[in-house]
Amino acid sequence: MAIIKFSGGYPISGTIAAGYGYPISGEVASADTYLMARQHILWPYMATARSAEFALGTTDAVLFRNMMSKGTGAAGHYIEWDDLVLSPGDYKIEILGYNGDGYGIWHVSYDGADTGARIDTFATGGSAGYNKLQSDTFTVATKTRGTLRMTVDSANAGSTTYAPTNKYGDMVVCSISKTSTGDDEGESADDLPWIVDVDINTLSASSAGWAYAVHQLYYRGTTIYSDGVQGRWVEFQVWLPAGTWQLTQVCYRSTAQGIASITLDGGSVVGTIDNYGAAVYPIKLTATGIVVPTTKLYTVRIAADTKHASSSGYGLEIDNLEFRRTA
Amino acid sequence: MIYAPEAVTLYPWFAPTKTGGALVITTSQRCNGYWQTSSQSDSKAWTESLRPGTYTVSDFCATTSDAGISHLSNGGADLGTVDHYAASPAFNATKNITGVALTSGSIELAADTKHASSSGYKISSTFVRLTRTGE
Repeated sequence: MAIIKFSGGYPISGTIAAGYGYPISGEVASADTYLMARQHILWPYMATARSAEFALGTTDAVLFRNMMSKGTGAAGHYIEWDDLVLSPGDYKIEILGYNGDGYGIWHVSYDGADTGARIDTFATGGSAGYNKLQSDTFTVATKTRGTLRMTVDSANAGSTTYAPTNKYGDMVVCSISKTSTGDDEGESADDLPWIVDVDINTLSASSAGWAYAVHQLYYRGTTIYSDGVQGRWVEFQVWLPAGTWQLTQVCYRSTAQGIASITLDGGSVVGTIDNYGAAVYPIKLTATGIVVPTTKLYTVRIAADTKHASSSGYGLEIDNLEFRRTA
Repeated sequence: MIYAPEAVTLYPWFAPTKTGGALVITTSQRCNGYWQTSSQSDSKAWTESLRPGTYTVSDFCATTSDAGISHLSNGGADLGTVDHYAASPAFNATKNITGVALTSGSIELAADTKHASSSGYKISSTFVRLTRTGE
């Protein structure tokens, strides 16, 4: 429930429920309610940081595309995401990833502290393979915007292959979800998500000239690409809290690509990403300083209206988009 | 004013509560696959923070001739259905329920019924998207 707080210089002080309409004035903290997300889906390729052992997988048939540690070093291979806002309560981690002999135990830390939660990815025989694996439940005591770190830091005693490390790690995608009820209210837009993923399969509208392609080696398993004609565009419905954001595009860069112009709700261009350059796939290209004035659902349009002077076309080939709040 | 997510993508394999199901990997389906349940009343449910309002619920799925009908609820009665049946199976299908009033709480889809011509209750879903469309 939203609470209006008032104090200072008045013969009364305290709190009253919003909407009572008392004939007084004072400092109104907020009559708004900010409901914090209860589940966050985290993609290893979009992690804030990860140790050098991790690289995109290249061979396995898997949903989306996996990210695998080579297991060549000592323990401590990690993937982490910062600016993860969690309300107080109990949580569990689930991952899609490979489990088998030689695969280690993920240790879960949040905001710099070991939560005690673990995911043991050791398995043998018919249990080995790509599976959904989950951790123990752990508690977040107070509302925090912190870093979630997943570290392959130990191994099951039965793990025998890939000696001497026995600590391979494999992750396709990670979920952190709240298992307890209540305590979901935040205090401001700062408590709303700082990472907003845009799956390209949630396309809401597009111009002519686009097609999807599917391959297990595409990041997230899918790409959407244009025919290279000037002015091609795609749109997505994206809910964004107020703030300043950067948009990262996972894509194919080449000498035939255009410049992606980003608009919100049909307004002026708020950022651009030049997709021209030496051919690289996949690559993360970013537009920064995108100001989102109010928290709401936006129509985000990506349009190939212009191009680098040296480019031979206006193509775009996008695997995924991610907004990350920077302020 | 309630500030809460107005567009959410829900992945079946990460549904906090679910019955039945397994991952199916196929490059015929975008994202390389889906979560498939097979039995009547197999379900998946997420507990979500949502801004109250009217939503479109989109199930990105594969339709089959042995598919069931998903029933959507938000902590109460059925709010709509998605029929996953097709005489000619198709990958990369998007099935929508429009104009559904949703609020924070449990979002559940359960294969409670089936098309008269269907031979089963399979649901093959890659993700479910909730998008707010109005008050």
